[in-house]
Amino acid sequence: MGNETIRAKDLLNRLLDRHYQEAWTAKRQGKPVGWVSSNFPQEFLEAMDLTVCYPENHSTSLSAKHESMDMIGEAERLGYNNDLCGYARVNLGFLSKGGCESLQMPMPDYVVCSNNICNQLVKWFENVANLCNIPFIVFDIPFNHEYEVSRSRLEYMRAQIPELIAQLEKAAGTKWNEARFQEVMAISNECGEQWQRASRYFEAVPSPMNGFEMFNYMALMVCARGRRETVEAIRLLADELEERYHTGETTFRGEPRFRIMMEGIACWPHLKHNYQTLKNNGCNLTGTVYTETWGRTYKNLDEMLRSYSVVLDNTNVDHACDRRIQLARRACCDGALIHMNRSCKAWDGILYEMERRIRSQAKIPTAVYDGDQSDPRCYSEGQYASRVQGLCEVMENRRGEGAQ
Amino acid sequence: MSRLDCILEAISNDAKHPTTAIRRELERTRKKAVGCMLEFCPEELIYAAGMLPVGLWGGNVELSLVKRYFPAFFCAPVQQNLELALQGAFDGLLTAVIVPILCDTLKSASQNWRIAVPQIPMIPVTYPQNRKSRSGQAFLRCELEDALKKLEQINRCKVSEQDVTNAILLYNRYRQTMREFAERAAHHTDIITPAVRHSVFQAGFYRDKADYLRTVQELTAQLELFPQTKGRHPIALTGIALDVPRVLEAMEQNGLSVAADTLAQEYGQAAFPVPDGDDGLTRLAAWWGQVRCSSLAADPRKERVEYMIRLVREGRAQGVIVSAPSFCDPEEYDEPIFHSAFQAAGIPHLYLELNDAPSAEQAAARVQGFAEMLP
Ligand code: SF4
Ligand code: SF4
Repeated sequence: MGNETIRAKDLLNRLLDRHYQEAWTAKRQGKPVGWVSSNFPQEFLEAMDLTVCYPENHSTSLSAKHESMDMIGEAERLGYNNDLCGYARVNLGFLSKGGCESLQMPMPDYVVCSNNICNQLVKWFENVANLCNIPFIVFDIPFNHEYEVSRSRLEYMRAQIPELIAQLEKAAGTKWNEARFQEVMAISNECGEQWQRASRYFEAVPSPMNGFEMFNYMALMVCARGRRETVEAIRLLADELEERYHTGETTFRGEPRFRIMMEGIACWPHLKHNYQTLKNNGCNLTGTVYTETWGRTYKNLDEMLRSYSVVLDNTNVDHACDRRIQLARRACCDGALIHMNRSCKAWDGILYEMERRIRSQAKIPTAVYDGDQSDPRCYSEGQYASRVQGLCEVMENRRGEGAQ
Repeated sequence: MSRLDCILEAISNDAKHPTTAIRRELERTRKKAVGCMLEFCPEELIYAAGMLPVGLWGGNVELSLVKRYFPAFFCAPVQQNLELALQGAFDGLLTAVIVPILCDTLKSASQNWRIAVPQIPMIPVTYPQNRKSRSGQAFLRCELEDALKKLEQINRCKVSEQDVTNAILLYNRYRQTMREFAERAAHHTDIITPAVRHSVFQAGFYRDKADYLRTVQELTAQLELFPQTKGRHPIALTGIALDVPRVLEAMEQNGLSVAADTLAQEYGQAAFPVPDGDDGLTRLAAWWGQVRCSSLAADPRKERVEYMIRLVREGRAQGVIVSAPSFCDPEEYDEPIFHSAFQAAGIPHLYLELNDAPSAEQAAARVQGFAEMLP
């Protein structure tokens, strides 16, 4: 990858390192460390000053650092099927091995999860809790089969809060602090606003950035979006983007000919190939719901809960598709590149319908490629390159025909 | 033909020819049929609304149209159900379908059905993860209430509390009947072979339970007239379903008989009665909190493992077969835990992923290998 991406990668490593160092310090001091799912309402955890790690983030790092296959091999040796979520296989392999080479993460004293990204995650965390014989805490954010979040869902989420707090107090030994909760909500909102600001430049025409950089910052949004320093980091990012936008500069190397929307989780083990292939074809990434989801703002508790309820594919297919179509229009994308992720059923089960709607309603061409967020075996460089080229040809032709 | 043979033949015919069985039942009862997509559907609601619940567990159909909606790596029964629906096999047969949202596949199944099969309305019910807590049950009660309202609209009827109570009463009697049958069947393994046992559970999905429970009661009573036998290799089944004829046949050929099961398609639906409670919907919601030994019902202690080990330790079974369709992630997560627990306990165990015809042949061969490991 070019210089710009190496810098971004360094930043990612530094941020993650600090996050993991804090967890290790807590572990050494005998403070319980939790494992948490990425889209869990972190406001509750931050307000209780809990030390937590995010296995999805960790699996992402190991996948990007080409260590996922060692962990996956271990998980498969234990009998985990290769259909299962790649992140889960990396994590369950890591748990079994008791460590890895590139990024150590403390073992958990309790697990906390929500099923707003998928139900598989609950089974994965249930196994971790069972294998480690530790508390298993679920904040249930049920699937929305209606377009909007129903009153019964909101009431259910609200009703679970006292139970959640009691379980966390017991598992982690810290007390609930309402004033701190209000403060964390305010910080998280600021963080969400700054993320939205950065996202506006990410989606702007012309784009002041190589879109892949957004992924690096997303890691920070996953694990520390209730923290002051994250607000500052994201504000800085937004400021830099704003400046570049006004001066007409960009960190995208090469001639940005096409603006691409990327659908699905990134293919971490092959990110370099993804990036280079796109860059060589003059494609810049300018929109993805995968990063968009972190621009969460709210005015009160109910709005906060609602925002956690409608993440990614916890919504019905109409809502899920509308979100993509709006993004494609807003970010003026010329085409969409869709990741058929071999091990993420939550995403894949509606992907064909989504592709049809993106084509017909956002009126842009699409291309689907096979891959996996962690399992390097599911991706073929040849297939990816030819799908990108095919997409570029269609985009080129449409441009020739004067299509928008 | 003896009375017992007549009963078994009728059951086997219904299990083999669901559409014929359902059509006959609809004509006889003058009801409409509502499909239940796989596991743990709230059948009582359909019954209370004066309609006939019909289990949809896939079928022998080549996947073609469904490829517009699902990539290949989704479980076969869900894909087959949608394929059949897309081919029009349910047109004129089903008035609606209920999709219980219990796993990621069923989420997308609900959405794909709604888009692809608009002529058969889809009623989703999201099941809570915190199923034992008051909040989780209150939520499920709301989901069930919404489903019931939709059923009322579809059948243009008003369902009273008494209707729901009556349906629960009937289904609890049905569950008890099936438990008694399973208990008795374990002592007559020469007559109730794995395939026959499966057909008794399966036929129940296409029949009015009020009628079918009498058939099963009579079957159980008939069995009592015969001397008890103990199979060569009594085993326990768990998982989602073991419904592939070739595999059931291989079990029999290798001397395996079913001592007990917790399959979602079989005993799993009958194991626990709907508990008492304030009103029908509250009771149905509480039932989900009572379900045990299923990969779909959150269980951090993995009680199912302990239960299966107990069955072997108590001498009821010599080994365990876990059976699920390929790509069934809830079962695939439990499998490694099973594997290490069974290995540590010295219990023979086989995991069968069932999908298509070639996989059935392979599975049959593995059943033979498994039988050889048994004492
Ligand atoms: S959403 Fe997909 S990638 Fe994320 S945990 Fe679930 S299955 Fe894994
Ligand atoms: S639980 Fe398994 S068999 Fe049932 S619908 Fe889900 S994936 Fe398919």
